[in-house]
Amino acid sequence: MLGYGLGLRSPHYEEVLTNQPKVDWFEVISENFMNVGGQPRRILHSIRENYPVILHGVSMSLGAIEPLNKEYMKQLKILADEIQPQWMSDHLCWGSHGPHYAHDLLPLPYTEETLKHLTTRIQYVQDYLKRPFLVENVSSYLTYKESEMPEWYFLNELVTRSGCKLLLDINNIYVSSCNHDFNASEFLNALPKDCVGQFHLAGHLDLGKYVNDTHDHDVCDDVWDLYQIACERFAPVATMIERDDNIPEFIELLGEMNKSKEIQEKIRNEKNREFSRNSKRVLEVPIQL
Amino acid sequence: MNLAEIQKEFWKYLSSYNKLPNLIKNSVENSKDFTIDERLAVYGNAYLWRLQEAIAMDFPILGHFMGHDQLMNAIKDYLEVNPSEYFSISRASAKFPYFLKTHPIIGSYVWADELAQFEWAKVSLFENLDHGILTKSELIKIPTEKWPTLKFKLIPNLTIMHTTYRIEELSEESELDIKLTPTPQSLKVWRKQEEVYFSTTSHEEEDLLMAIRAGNNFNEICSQFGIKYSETQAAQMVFNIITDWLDDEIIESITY
Repeated sequence: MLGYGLGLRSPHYEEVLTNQPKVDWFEVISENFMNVGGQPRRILHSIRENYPVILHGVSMSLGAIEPLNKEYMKQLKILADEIQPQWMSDHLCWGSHGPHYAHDLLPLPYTEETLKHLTTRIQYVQDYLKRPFLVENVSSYLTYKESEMPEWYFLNELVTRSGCKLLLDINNIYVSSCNHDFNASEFLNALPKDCVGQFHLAGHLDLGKYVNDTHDHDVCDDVWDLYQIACERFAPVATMIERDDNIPEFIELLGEMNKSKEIQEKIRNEKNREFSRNSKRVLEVPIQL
Repeated sequence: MNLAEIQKEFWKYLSSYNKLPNLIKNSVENSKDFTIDERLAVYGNAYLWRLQEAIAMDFPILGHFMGHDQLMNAIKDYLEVNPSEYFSISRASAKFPYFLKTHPIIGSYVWADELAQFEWAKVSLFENLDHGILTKSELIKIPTEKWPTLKFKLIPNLTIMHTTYRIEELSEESELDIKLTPTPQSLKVWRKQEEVYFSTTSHEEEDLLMAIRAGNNFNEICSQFGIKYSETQAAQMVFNIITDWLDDEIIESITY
């Protein structure tokens, strides 16, 4: 398990480069460093010298109906070969149409057609990048009448068919559960125990009518509670805090990261103790030949 | 609708700001307290807002003069005919300066497109790919007999602009009612290491930049300048300018 990380954003570059804070790993947005030189690239390489870096994409447009953008894939591979991330990730969504980009994570209908489409694409991406590739559940504000199954069933099928693991965004589950009125705990418990490769934690904005996945607030108590349930089911899982707007002092994010560590480590220790007790009990039972 | 049809209709909704007829509403689940229109609007608003914010950040000086609302409206007009074509949102501004040439805003700010081009050059050069740089020590190693056929290659991170107004004098601190008088000039904008620089160019420097871009060798360039100067003066002048460029790091390589 890689440990506990933070999403690296430009206001914190200097802090990280100068003080080398105690963070197990950083996640960066791939597109910010693809086909890029100058200061951004130099900084990424400097940080990579001291930390593992995970590449997280926002524009692969996995679910789009058109073929994957060859230039995008080429540039992503070049970056991956330079940075050598342990895994890479992008979202279960579509974000482009023809040659145009929405720069958004648009929802997909949960259908057999989408499952087949995504399975083929994910397998291609894993083969092309030659690295584990995780797919992230997105927050959504609408569902389609065409959907044939709930999101958790869709994810379950997708990981089984494609062989990939999930980047499970706990906040996104919470946001979607509010916007579509489903039980977030049931969502988690419907997923296979070994299907999660990474957790995301983030903040959101509750607008009353709906919850917006803004990444501009601290992680709220409800999401921490859901994280605890997720840890009980899936831990050990590498975890990171995402913050994209209203970015606070680095130390505040560090505090959230340490909280995620405390919660998961406590659960892991309890699990280990339970495991030891059970193992001991098994050993104490006389073997009957 | 199948996956392709859903995406086609959804895209029509987003890119036309829901002005074109679309069928996406027929596919969205309804609920009493969060309607189909409201659900779609979350995406419609986010699409526009995210791109407007990203593009506006590239043009802070233009925004200072136009004001936030007017700039946002111009960007909205721009996106309607120029949806983003690159996977990174940081390149969504690329065609905005050219779009402004024919936008009504040019009636109020005749130099708006030139200023936008200048601001975009600074932003895009900052993160463009790295390249090699010719050093003085490499140049002085070239045998004298090779100089006539010497060809220079300029760095890719160099933009040469021809402007009617001295837009480089504008800043976020400029008086809003500033009046610029037409003063045609040539401006070079380039990245040296990690910083972006700019300077106006003399006629000779501009001619030399054009000659190098046209692929002329040292001898041909000097002959070009020989119309106005003696052969020796021309060679010395070209050499002096090139020496300055080595300090500025705007020559990538040489061939002979």
